[in-house]
Amino acid sequence: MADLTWPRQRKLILYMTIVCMAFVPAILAMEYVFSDLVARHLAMSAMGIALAICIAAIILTTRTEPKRWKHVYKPMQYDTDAVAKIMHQIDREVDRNTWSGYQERTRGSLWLREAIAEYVELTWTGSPYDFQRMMSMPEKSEYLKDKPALKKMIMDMQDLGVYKDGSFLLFPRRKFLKVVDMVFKEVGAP
Amino acid sequence: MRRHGGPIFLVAMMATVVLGVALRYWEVVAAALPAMVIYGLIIVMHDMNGPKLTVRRWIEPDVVRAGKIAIVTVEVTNKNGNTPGLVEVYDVLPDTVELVKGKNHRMFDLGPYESKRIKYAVRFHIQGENRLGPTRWRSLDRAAFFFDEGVAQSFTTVKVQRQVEDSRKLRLPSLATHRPFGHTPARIKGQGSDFYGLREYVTTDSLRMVNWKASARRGKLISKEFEDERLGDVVLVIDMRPASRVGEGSLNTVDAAVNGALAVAQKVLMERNRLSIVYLRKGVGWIRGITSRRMVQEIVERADFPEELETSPISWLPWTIRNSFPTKAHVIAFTSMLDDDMERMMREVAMVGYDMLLVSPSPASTCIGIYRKPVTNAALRASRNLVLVQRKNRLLKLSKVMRVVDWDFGEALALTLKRIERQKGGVARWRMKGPPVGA
Repeated sequence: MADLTWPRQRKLILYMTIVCMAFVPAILAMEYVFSDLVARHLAMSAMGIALAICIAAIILTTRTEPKRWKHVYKPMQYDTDAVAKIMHQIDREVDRNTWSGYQERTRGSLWLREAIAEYVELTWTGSPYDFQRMMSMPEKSEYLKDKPALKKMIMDMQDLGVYKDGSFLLFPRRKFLKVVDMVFKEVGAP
Repeated sequence: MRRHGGPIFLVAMMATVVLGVALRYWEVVAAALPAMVIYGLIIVMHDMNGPKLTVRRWIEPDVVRAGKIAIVTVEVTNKNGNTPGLVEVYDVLPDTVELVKGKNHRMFDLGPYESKRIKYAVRFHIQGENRLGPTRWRSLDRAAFFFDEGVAQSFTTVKVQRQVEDSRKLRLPSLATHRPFGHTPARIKGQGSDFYGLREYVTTDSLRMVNWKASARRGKLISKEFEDERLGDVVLVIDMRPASRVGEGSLNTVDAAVNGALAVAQKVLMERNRLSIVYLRKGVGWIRGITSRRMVQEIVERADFPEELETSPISWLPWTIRNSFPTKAHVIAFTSMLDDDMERMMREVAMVGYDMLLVSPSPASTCIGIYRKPVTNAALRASRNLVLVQRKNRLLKLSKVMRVVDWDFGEALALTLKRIERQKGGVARWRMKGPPVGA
């Protein structure tokens, strides 16, 4: 005989035997306990239903559920350390009471400004969007009319270290990241 | 229903019998009899000895390449002639293997001495040895009330090789018009056919090399020397640092750089040039004086480069190239250019006077999922965008001192390089600096 791997089935047979040994004489005993025919029938029916419920419960609880086989492919994903580093900085929430997180976010924003400035200088040659000019007088720059997020970033990054209430460096996380997203969109970065 | 059918059937049957007995409706008990007969037959027909399955597995094609699709066929045979009924078969795969088409899990009816096949397509991402197997099977009775499990210890070891770009279509014209790749004299002695000079005979020279007239004149054996037909030196710089790796499985920037570089190596050797490979991993390693394509093929098959010396830190790259290779060598660098250090080193190498071509596998290539899929995490999206902008800036800056190719390795390298030729100036554009070509 094969080595059967269903111990729960054996448990089922054992429990069923015990339950039947207990219930069958009990049902038959009703005939001697109740002399009234209606009461006897009711008691025997109740015992029969109880037996059926017991058997169903035993079967359902001892049913062997075979392990489901499924191939799971775990793709090896590689990302650079630089992404994790920038994310750590840019993803910080600034707590206005302790100013914690402010430095990290500022550092992340500085990286952003440097990269965007370089990108504008390298790709926007000859266009009115002269980054040097934008940096020196963003509030007066006519060119930034259609680029409000970029304008805000330049203005706010001008005086670093000075906490201003309206600065995007103090925005809540979601709003801050929205500005960052818009900056990328406005400069047409990859 | 398959697994629950047996128990539910049994519950219904028992309940009917019990109710019939309890309520003394013998018609109900009689109605349950056919069900009891069916259940009895299921138990009687179930072969308690269990099947004895043998499994055979083979893989096509013979040479499996990383990132390419391979077809796996599993043949299951019921050897001992039992009637196992329904057989559920599951061919175990490592979690690094991607299931592309079909399923490695099947259920079928298997008669005595019968064979059935499972066919599915997979993609391997790990180079080197990958082990497939064992095969798990489960035999169930017709009502799926009982089951019997087993494992067929059949393993298949697949040696996965690197997927190298096709070098036949690669066009690598000269970087310098005065000293092209191709059949021009190297002005050094070697194994060519043009006479170079005379020297004293040494024991390793063959007798065909002896110039008998000169030997007779001088009274001692004199050998002829010939000019080497091999041309300029080509130095391939391959960036294999973990910091440069972006992508999924075998479709990542480092593997793309290696695959592209090895294709270029084969092309360079095909055109009878001398080749050296400098690679960056933990430090700087190099293989010098490669003259045969077999040596490149060995690297492809071995799936790895030799260990580099620990005494050569990465920052020594410009120094290594400057001191080990002639300044007239062509340097072709393969790097994803994801950090400032690499930009600085490339600039330093170019400043020495090497003609340089930089091929940069893009992290935003069409075949890489993680940089292409829309990212819901705004911080991650911003960080990745920032890294891409920084990389683009580096390429733009370097394009002023060398030829830069931004390579979307979802397409063939030959196709990307061909775009340079299509630009105004044609092949001569190789030497001209300009905006990055490619993606």
